Amino acid sequence: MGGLTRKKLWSIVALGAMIGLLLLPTIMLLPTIMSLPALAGGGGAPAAGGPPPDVAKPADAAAGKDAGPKVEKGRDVYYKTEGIVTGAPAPKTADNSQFYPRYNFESRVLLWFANQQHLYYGSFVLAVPIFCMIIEFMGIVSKDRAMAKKYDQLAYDFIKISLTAYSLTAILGGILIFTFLTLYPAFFGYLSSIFRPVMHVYALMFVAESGTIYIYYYGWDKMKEGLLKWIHVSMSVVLNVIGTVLMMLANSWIGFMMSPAGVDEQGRYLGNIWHVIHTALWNPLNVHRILGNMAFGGGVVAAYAAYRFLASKTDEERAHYDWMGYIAMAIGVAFLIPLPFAGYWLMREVYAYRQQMGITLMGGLLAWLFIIQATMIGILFLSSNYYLWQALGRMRGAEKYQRYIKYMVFVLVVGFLIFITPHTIVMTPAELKAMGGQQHPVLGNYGVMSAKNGGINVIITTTVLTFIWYMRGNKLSTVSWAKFGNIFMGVFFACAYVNIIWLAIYGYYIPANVRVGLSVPQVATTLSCLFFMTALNGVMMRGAKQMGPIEWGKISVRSQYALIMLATAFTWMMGLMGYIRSSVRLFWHVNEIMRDNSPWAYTHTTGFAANMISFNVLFFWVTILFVFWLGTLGVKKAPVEAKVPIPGRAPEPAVGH
Amino acid sequence: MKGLLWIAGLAGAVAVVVLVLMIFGLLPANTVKLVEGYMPMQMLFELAFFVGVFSAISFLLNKSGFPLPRFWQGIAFIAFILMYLKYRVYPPIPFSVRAMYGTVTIVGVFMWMSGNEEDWRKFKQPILNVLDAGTRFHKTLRTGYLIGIPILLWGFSYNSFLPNLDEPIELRTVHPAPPASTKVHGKTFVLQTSQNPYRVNPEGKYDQEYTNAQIVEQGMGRLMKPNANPWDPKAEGYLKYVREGGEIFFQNCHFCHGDNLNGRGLHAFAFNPIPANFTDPGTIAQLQETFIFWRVSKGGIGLPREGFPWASVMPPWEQHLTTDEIWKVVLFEYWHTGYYPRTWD
Amino acid sequence: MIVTNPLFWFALLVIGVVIFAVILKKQELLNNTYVAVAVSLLIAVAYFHLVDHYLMDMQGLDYWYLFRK
Repeated sequence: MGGLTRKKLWSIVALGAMIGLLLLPTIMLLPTIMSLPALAGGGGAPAAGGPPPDVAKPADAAAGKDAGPKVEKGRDVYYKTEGIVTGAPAPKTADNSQFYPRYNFESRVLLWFANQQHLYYGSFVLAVPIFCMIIEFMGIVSKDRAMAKKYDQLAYDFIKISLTAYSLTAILGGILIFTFLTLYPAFFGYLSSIFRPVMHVYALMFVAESGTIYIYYYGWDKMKEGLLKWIHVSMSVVLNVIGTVLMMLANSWIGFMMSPAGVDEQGRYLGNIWHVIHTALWNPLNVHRILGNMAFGGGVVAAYAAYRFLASKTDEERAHYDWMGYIAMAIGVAFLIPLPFAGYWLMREVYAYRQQMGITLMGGLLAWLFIIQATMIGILFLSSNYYLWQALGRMRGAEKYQRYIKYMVFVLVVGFLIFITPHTIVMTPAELKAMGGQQHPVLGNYGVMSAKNGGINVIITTTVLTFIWYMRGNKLSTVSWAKFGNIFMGVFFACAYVNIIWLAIYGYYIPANVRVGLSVPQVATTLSCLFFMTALNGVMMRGAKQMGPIEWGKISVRSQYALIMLATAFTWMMGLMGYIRSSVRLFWHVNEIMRDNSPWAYTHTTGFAANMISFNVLFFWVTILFVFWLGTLGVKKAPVEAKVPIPGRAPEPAVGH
Repeated sequence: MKGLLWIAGLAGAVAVVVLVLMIFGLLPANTVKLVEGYMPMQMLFELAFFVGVFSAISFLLNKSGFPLPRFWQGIAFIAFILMYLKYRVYPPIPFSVRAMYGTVTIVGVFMWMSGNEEDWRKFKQPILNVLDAGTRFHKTLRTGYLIGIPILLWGFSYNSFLPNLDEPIELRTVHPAPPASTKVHGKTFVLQTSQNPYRVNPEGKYDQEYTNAQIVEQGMGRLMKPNANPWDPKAEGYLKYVREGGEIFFQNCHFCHGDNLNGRGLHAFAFNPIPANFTDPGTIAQLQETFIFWRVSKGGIGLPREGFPWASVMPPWEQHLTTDEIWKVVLFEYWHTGYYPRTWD
Repeated sequence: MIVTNPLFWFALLVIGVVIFAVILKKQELLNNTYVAVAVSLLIAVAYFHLVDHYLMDMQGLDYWYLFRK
């Protein structure tokens, strides 16, 4: 008894220590924050955005300061507030070894590689603890003891994988910084001069993250009962908060590079760190990246499970990895569904920030990459649908749904085709003449946003429908209004499709500024299906008659290849989108502030970029396979353990990470 | 229900026959018209119709004891889609897009064929039969493939080694990204915020709502709104500017861009690519008015670096027209096509 | 035009829900296909019109742009 109390005490202390670590950076930042108004003088009230309310203020402030030493003022390029110049202007670089020291190789490509690998691992280790949190929580609230044990074991398996990946992330981060320092010293010097306090906070947060993740991992066995377990789960919350803040800080740098704020036209820092962090694209980037990381993490774990499934020798192993793949896929897809909408928001903000940036992305130089991206998104949805259809095969009674797969395929494919129709079509001059111009009466209409929004929403709605079929695969509703419920769901889905398609067509008949608004009701239609229909289905299936248990491990092999496909597509797409986001700055290091004067300021050809992305993907998968292999070295009997309810888990050897 | 299926099946059979006859020119190609303006939806409906009737036919055949093998259903469907895309849609779809559509169709058919174990087994059966060569027929077939496929590959290789006399493909950027601002006749215009000085209401204020209500009806007819005739001598304000823009257009632009603004002017076909078609929803309807202003002022020569290859011979009109005249032409182009310039609020 | 008024659709939605509440008591009506389709259609159509209207309204745009002219 005494032992348990002491344990509790220690875990509370640990939690407190973590929260302290979390708060530490904030406290250390306090002097900086406090000194801000003083530094910024009259005009520096940290307004959150928009034009300053105190336009009159700078005038009298300047008048008052006339007597003192002369201070130079600058105007914020984005917030349009005035502030005292406290930093040096952005260096004007030239193509020489002082600004761009180099090997006999393209520095940009080296940096690209280092960045991408760091990002892959970073995303993975940010996403996986979030899964752990969810799964551990599911395990705690699960009433079924065996199930709870399974969930707990799964969460533990996840964190074990992410621990190795975590140290790799740190190593890759170091490599990235060295690459920056050695190859782009002028640019990195400028960036760190502006983000000085942020970078320190970032480093401290990293320390906090490491501390938390180690306590979380090594405390797993010690804290598995009662209150202690809850403290353990709350630790994962703290861990994820730290991780998310870390990512948001890193995002502020790329946000600054794309849409600088807080500096004047020469790039001189104006004393307001919040303006520098909170740029036009920061929040859209944050949201998009969190969702993207989650989907990516789900994909990677699912691929791991698929690989283990295919390599399994016993039915038990197969059952375990089938289940694991399913859970990982479900989490991944759950975050994949809102991802296009977050992307749409980001795009809107890009257009609002600089029209030419938007056009470069969507209609100009990088438009072809967006077609590739659309294709990848389509592949993601197609493979997750395919996986769920295959998963119907492991349930008795699901045959009645399998008959309709062909119609679902048709709807999906049509949505997909419209979604990938390019606006700028590749064609031979002969074809151009045959077509009689750049624009095609059919393809031209598919190639614009209105139709594409319709296409992707149809795809997502269909995915929701597939998911609902999967949920009710082996069940028969027993509620008295079952028939009405089924009809209502059918009608609701039909109306949703009609509404989406109608809005897509309607867009052609109204002006562009009204048209862009139509995407919102379209999205709302899709989300209505997702939320209402899933909820309704849940109510209908309560106490439903089971026609047979889910036979884990009886899924077809093809489904596992679909999972691997899903993960590869995720990885590839992440690389692609990162490249697009980065290259939209064209020949700027910091958009409109600091010019890239290296010989590599041009945009890569699409082919080169695609090859480079493929190389990054391949490298990531090879190294992550190594990480997975390390994970298997520690415990050889994980699935068996999960299956057989043994009183306590054997102590984990520390070689697991 | 059964009657309905029979009707659907018959309709499908007739439709396929008509389609085939149209393709081979035995029936006029416009027997079933592609309606201009509604083509995108028409194409989708036709495809949905065929999918529906095909399933009806397949179901009926199944019931009557002559089931079509799964494998051949899939192959036939892919062939049908490829044929449809190549011969049904006019103007012809470029190969690059057909290749994309075809690939996705094949993936889709694969997903359909392998949707459940039963189907997958049926689909694989003929392939396995040929590979196993259990019967005499299959053995012959396998030998045939063994000889046929290399010959086919040889043919492909031979073709690809033949000297190609076609002009090379170019990836042309239709809307190159505009600069943030442009300088015309010594005045700087910020593209994000500039406004057409002639897009005004009777009070002389910039008013897009007002002018949008005055443009021609969108669609095929392009009818003028009642009480909104720019050629009415009494027309004032916006409509007068539209007329002036029209005069400038017909003195300078219509030789290439055409009197219907559809890019089919007198000289249009001397150029490659032909001039922009303003009536297409993908051109000016997608763009801000200031974008058009910039493109007209700077012409093909003024395209940014990324617009390479500068496949545009439009002269920089700032050398021939005043700023006001350019704005008026832009006004006229939107009025005449019935499109609204894009705005960001 | 009455169809451009969100209250009209709101009323339809309410009617649909009320009918549903009424037939919920009567098993044979509830599980009658035609009645179920009619009620579902009423609710779904009204609901999606409201979605279209209000979500455009929230952005300061007019969903009924084409119909008002």
